[in-house]
Amino acid sequence: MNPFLISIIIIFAVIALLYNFLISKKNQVKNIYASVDTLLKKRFDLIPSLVATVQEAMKHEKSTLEEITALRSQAMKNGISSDKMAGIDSKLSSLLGSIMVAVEDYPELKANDNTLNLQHSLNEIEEQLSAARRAYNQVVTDYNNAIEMFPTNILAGYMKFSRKQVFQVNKNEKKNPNIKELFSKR
Amino acid sequence: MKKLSELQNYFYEKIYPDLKYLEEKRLKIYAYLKKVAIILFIILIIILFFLKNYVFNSIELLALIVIGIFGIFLFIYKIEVSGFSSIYKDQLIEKIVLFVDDKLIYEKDNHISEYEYIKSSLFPQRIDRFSGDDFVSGKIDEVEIKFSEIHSEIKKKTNKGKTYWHTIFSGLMFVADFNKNFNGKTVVLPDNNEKIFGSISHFFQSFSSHGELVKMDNTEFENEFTIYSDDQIEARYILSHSLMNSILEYKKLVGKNLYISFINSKIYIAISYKGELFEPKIYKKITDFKEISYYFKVISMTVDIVKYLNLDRRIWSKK
Repeated sequence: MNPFLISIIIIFAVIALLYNFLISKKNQVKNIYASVDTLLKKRFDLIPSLVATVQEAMKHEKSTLEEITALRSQAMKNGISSDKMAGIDSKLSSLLGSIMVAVEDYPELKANDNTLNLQHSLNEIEEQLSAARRAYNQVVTDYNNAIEMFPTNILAGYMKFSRKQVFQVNKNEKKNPNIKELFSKR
Repeated sequence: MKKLSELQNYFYEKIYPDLKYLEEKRLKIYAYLKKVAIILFIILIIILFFLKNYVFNSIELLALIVIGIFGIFLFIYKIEVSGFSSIYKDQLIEKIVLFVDDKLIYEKDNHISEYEYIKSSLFPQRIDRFSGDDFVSGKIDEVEIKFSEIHSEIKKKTNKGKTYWHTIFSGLMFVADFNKNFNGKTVVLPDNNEKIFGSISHFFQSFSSHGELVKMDNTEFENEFTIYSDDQIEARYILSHSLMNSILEYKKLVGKNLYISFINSKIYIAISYKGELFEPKIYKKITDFKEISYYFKVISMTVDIVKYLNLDRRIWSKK
């Protein structure tokens, strides 16, 4: 066969491989983000019952609870950007965390089975969200590496791929904070 | 968690008196075996003397006779030692297990089943021989645990066509309920490549029957282990930063290769140990406290996995 033809085929094959590689990285990000989204919604669904259970007793935490409800309504609106969502998510994590700590000061709530179940569910969601965020950050890093490193960066330029943002991991999350201390007091 | 100093007191009060009887038995068996060895050696010399014409012409005949005599000795040795080992385990090992926690059950001939070993997905190779002993089970801080020694082997052929047994895994296998609900499979294996080759090794490791490669966000953990899972998020849900740190601490404590898997809300840990763990040494004094404290160390380190990995922490929705 004509060597010119062979080199054309090889170049084509290489470009196809690189292209598919980039696409797979992009789709991995989309995939994981979808899971993050699902978990965020799961948490939002938990909030009304949480607020309803504690608001009678937690008179001092009224403003925090109101803020939580407001953030939830904001997040439920359609067409919210992923950056804004990340901001709301981060704020909610810390507010919900502080409510859980505050429960310690209300013995009648602590004794309530309902509250206990909610705490466990909330804790589980928070851990799952934390896991989803970590997974997301990993695929985004892989994606960013792919579009910035040679030789895929050339192709990425043509495909107009741009850097994505990672979730800022709350310093508290890494230590799985107050919730841990909270339960060790039992 | 019991301390070694408490063991010493317990040892002198409860164990030592019974050990003396065992020690007498050991000395008898040891003396018997020495006699057998001498007699067999004399028989060997006599046989070789009478057959000296045939034997010096044929190496095969010489080898056959020597191996035959040696085989007889080995046979007698095995019978005597296994009989003694059985009594030793009843008298001593069981007492140590009960000292670690009196709610534990010790069964010297039982072991983690082949079914569970395969279910752990830690060693996917085909098994030709599977054995084990020293099974311990019970509840520690409301967590169901069980562990035993296991030994899995595969038959292999050398270039010349001779078959031999190759060990796939030898050591302790530990199984317990994990404190989070999950459906998939995550496997954590010791990683030798990453220490040397760094991130290039990721490329090679990604081809595996264990599942997708998972890159963890803890550098030390990534260096020590290679993680595979069928779900990227679930793997991170299970392996929180806190658990990763606990596993690293435990690995440093035990100083052996760890193979860990998380399957259907259970945790499986295989700890590599060479040779038999709880067998008496027929040539050594068994009232030696050093041996006793070694058994105690191994058993308590395994039972305490519950504490080290916080398996008793139930703050999620799994009851």
